[in-house]
Amino acid sequence: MLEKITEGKGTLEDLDKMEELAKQIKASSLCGLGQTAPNPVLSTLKYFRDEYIAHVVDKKCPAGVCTALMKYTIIPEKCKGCSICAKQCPVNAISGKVKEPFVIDQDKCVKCGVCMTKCPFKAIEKK
Amino acid sequence: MMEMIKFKIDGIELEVPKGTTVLEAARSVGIKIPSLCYLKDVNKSSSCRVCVVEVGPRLIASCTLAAENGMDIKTNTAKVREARRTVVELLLSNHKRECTTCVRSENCELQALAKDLNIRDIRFEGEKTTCPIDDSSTSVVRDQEKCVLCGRCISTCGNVQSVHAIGFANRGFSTVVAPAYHKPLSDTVCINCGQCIMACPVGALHEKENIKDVWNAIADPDKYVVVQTAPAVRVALGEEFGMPVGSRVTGKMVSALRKLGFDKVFDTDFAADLTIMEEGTELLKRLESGENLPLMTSCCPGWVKFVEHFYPDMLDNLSTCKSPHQMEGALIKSYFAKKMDIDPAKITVVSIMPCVAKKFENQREELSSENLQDVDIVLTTRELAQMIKEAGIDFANLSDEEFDNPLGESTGAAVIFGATGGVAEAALRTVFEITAGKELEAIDYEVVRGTEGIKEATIELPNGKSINAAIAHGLANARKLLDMVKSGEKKIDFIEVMACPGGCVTGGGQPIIDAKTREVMDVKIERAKAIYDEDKSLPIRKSHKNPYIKQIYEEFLGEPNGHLSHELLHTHYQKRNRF
Repeated sequence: MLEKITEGKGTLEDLDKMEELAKQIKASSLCGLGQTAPNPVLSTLKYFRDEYIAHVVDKKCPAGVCTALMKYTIIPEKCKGCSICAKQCPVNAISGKVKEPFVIDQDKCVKCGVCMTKCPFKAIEKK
Repeated sequence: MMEMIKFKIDGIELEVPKGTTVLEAARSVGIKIPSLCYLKDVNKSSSCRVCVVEVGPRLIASCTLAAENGMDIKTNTAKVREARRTVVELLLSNHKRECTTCVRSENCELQALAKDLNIRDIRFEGEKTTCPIDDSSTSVVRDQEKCVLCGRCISTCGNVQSVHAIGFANRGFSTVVAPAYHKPLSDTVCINCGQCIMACPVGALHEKENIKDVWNAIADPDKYVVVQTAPAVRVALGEEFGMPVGSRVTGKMVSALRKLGFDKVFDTDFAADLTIMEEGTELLKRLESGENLPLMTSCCPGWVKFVEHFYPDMLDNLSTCKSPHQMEGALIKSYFAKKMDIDPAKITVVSIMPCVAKKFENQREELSSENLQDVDIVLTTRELAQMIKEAGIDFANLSDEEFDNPLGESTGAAVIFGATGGVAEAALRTVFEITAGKELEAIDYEVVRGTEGIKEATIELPNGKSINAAIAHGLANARKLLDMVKSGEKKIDFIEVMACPGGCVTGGGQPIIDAKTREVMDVKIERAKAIYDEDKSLPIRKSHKNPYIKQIYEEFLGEPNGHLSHELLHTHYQKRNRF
């Protein structure tokens, strides 16, 4: 269920189901491991429910961790068109004319993040 | 005086002896707590979590919770119901749910639980265990994808049978039940008794089915198909058709077998009488010479393989007699074939047995002559019931029919082979009369009956000698007995062992008894009662008085333990390794 949510395919019912499952496991387990294993899920659901909802409803990962929900984009105002990012991209997802702002083809992008680390002008952002 | 505990379940005040579990106490007052891994006297592991109850703020498994003074137990709260539901749903989410085609359909404890708990969908579909089916054994098939890891088979194999062929392997989600080193079951010390099948609540363990082979043989016009039935089958088969435990259905069974298309319906009991002649004579000979005592019975193939694995130094003590159905098979393919002028190669012998170990036994190389196995196919009681259902026979309304002769006539002594102590009692009846040389009035040896694990009796013979007999059922008991004999603690002349607790009546091929029934009745006692009733109802109750036994010795075999009997009715054993 967590995987489903990180891929942006979760539903609000999944959250309830997960919470119920975690509570039941906690209540009916024989050993301490079973009684405590659901804790991370339960405490994040309690204190960070808005993040779960962001994943499920807005299909966004506010912390920028869930690869499937992330997007690397080039900020045109900052981009100088140096082409370093395009040369580094392992899947040739970045194209553009030199000295003009480049763009990332989201269908090709594998979200490796190399472009962002190589950009000398910090013109690439992750959302 | 026993200390009593006072506590409350669902508001009912209870007083129970100290040590009683909450589950037992609740069931004694009619409160139904569902359970799965709990099997009376065998398995209490509190691993399945189905039997949880509310004790204060906590949920605790009631099968292992000893009642304490002042407890206030609740078995029917929303919290309890929800927890049980979730537990069963989670079990189902990792269960190969092919219920309609499963061998245990309608006879499955998990299915019954799901129904009782009103589970209509599985909310938690997740990863599933993938594990190939182990059908290496001749007798037992293991399907881990249906296993619920209750551990009932492991407890049975280890504690009841002391064989320890299977155990838990791996950890966490990868946990499976497996033989050591994940070997195929056929390469282990498994003695094929099938008690694990009887313990399994689901379809993870079942017998290797041979029904198709039998249908094919019956359909083949070139084959002369002969069937024989073991004594314990007739007191259990009825249960598969809704009759109460302990119903005797001998006549209906014979009638059904004819309807299925078998050319002759013989009775293994005839060969049981023959076994008594051969084994009784062997016992008298050994008593005279003093060699290889104690004589150990060899009717039970599970027990024989147990000795081959664990007590190879005592192989000479085993009687050299083949087990009764193998004797019957050998005679069908020699005596009967000759009499009827049929080519033995065209005869198919099918044995209906309460046992899955017989499926291993009939494939032993030493149990054949001229490349023909004595017995070709072994079916269990359950498989026979399946065939009868498949054929659309209305079993309950069949009229009674008689076995065919000459290999179908038997005595009361043969019938009791089906219950623990029966072989010993039958042997004693004959041995006593042979040495006395006169008729015996009181022939019921009550001392060897009953369900204690190890029974002992000393029989004074009329010639002044005496026989120390010991009877064990369940191999953990047999192991205890053998160890006492080996250490010299006990001096025994004659040992009868049946591998399954209770003997063949509760063998691994018999109708399956679920955990709930096991709690309210002792099926081995009920079925044994039927066996002894059958014995009482027969006009002849001593093997050597069977007219057809006399005839076969006169016409064919010569004398007990003679040359031809040795060739046809006796066998030898081999040492087997533990790993």
